[in-house]
Amino acid sequence: MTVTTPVDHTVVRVAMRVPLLRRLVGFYRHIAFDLPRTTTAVGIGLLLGIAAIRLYLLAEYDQPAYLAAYFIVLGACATLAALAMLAGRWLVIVRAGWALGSVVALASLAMYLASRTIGLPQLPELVGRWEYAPGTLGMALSGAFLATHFAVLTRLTVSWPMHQEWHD
Amino acid sequence: MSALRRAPLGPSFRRPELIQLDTRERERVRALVRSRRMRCPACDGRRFEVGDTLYLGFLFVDTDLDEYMVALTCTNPRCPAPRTGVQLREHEFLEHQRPREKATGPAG
Amino acid sequence: MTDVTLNYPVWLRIEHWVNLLFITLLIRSGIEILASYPRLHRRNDSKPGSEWARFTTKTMPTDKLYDTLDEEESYSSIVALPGRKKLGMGRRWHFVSLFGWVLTGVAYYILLFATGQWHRYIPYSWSIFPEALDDAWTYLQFQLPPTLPDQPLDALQKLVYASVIFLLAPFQILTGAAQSPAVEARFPWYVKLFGGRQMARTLHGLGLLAFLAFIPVHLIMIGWWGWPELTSLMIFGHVTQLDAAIGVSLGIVAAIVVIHIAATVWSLRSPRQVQRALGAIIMRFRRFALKPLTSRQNYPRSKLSPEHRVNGKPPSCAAYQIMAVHNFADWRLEVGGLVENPMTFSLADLRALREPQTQRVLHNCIQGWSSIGEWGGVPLRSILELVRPLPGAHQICFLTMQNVDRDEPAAAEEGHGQYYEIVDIERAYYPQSLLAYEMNGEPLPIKHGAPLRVRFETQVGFKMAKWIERIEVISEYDGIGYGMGGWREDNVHYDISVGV
Repeated sequence: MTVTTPVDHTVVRVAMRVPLLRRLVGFYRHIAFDLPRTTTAVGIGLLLGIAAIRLYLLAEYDQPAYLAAYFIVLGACATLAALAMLAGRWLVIVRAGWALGSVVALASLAMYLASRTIGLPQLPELVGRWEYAPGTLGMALSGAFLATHFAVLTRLTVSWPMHQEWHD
Repeated sequence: MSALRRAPLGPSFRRPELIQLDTRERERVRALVRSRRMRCPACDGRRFEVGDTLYLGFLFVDTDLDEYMVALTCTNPRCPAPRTGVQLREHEFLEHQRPREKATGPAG
Repeated sequence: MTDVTLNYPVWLRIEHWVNLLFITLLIRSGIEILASYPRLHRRNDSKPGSEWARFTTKTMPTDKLYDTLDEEESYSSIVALPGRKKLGMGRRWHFVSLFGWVLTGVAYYILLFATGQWHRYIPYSWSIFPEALDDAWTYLQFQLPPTLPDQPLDALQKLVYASVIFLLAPFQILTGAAQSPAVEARFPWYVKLFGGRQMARTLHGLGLLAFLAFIPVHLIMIGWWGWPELTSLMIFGHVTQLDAAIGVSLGIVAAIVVIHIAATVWSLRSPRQVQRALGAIIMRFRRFALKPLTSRQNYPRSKLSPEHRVNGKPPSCAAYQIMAVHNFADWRLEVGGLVENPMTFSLADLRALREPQTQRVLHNCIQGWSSIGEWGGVPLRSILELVRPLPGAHQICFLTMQNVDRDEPAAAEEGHGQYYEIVDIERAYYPQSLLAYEMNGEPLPIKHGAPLRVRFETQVGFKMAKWIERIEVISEYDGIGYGMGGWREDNVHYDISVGV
């Protein structure tokens, strides 16, 4: 479900004046999948992966209280989003689930990048520690979820219980 | 595939694309043929039997969506090529709309 | 583990770069083939709207007959070889590159096992799986894992290369073969192994995706491990002259790009030359391997496609429409040419010849879709026995009522005139070579070629001419059309014999 506003249209119109961008969008528009179950399974898998990493961090390390709370909230939101994505009868809830998933992915990505660049309160030692495997994995999962949600919003694919309306 | 018929097809089969016209529709076609002063291309005859119709709009690339071909058979017994036809619009002769998909099968 | 030094012998280095050429040609020509029917299905019937993937923005009408010629996409030459709706050219490059790739692969396998170099790819124990996981974890730490003792690769790389070389490559060949109508017709069980014709095409597409994923990861890894060192190994056999290695590696890549550009330009500018040159190679293989295959299909009635797809549009002229509305009572089939006894048949004559022979078979369109239908009619050999071909008769030409300019706007961009197709006369005597006047137990529908079409079950669909009005037995086809063996052969550069 895409929400478009006049601003979106203007942005799109201006962007489409750039030939390379126009070609890329044209290319993108040539690809579409009707794989609702697979898409939702992938989305849920990625979110649960993000949640699992936070649980692992929570169990593995002593961290400041605010960070522990953040891990718990993020993990809970990821699980909630995954559950909402399965509420097939209520499309509003499904879409809200995907949106919450993207918020979780963005938050997870932003927090991790902040911890490695500007640093987090009480954890200055994390700055520059990029060689942390669960962190890299978390970034990859978050990025993949955002890409999947983008694909759903632009109808490259569809999420369960929707279908591409191909009835030639 | 319940529509599959296993008995051999006899010579009097009607192919699935053809639509049978009722009496009133045949009469409308006859009236149109008369008013247009149609003549048999083979013998110049003016009297025709009206047969089935074929919906053209779906199957043929350069026909309009409401076009049909109606079978006409010249009644002149000496006509060398009695089978001919007339192309008509749906509203000109059909009393009730036929399901076009049924007549032609969906696009493949 | 092994006494063999796992180094970079000259054959391995040559094979690597030759493989790069063929695999890229295969990928681009494969995309051209996909463009001609830019949809992927799971089920044999290729029902419109049931595809799980589509690579097109076109939508088709619901109130007008459309065919897959209308669905064909024109892809850019950047992604497809040669691009711009040239399926005939794409197929030629795909098959010729396949020969090269298979020969390269067979030589590679033989040399790997003959020289002991297979140790670099084949795992020795289950412990490689946890080791590969450890390696993946190390990569996630943005560090390079250690290579296996006395081996050039780490555990993860070893597994990935083994999968690509020993699983993915044969998988692509096997799923490709499952799309050949000759193979499917002779060995119907084989295509069932893959879940049917469309699943085979889907799996082939997923294999392409796997190659498309492998190549950038491979390049990133080379860059990470050291482009100069690794390309030096793959060019000189040892780490030396790093600057030269970079230069030569880029030179090889540039040469491959030049070959691609040359193949593309040649195909777009002189398709007839390409048709003859590459066709000569492909036809030898077809004559040897595919032509002897005869159809042994008889699918159960439950497998019939509820709606059989079509290609080609019916003759759009009053003469044909009047014949149709009179049940084709005035239609006649003329059979002549190099025969002792030229004959003319009405539809009733054909029906009276004998009980219809029926066959339930998988129909393959050259573009990629399939459907299963039951065809009933008179075997072609029965007609030939009546007209008795004269000595010197080598081919049969089917002339149809279809005029491409009038009936097929999508094809009229490429060529003009009456649609005809030619087959070798031996094919007419195959058991399932049929002049069909029935389909699924009913009169042959107009869109499927009424009143009469031909069925050659080891060939793709365009050979099975529809709306036939004349059959001519001939000695050679050089003087017909452009002399290539049929309308599509003349105008869109397909092959005369299309068992694959």
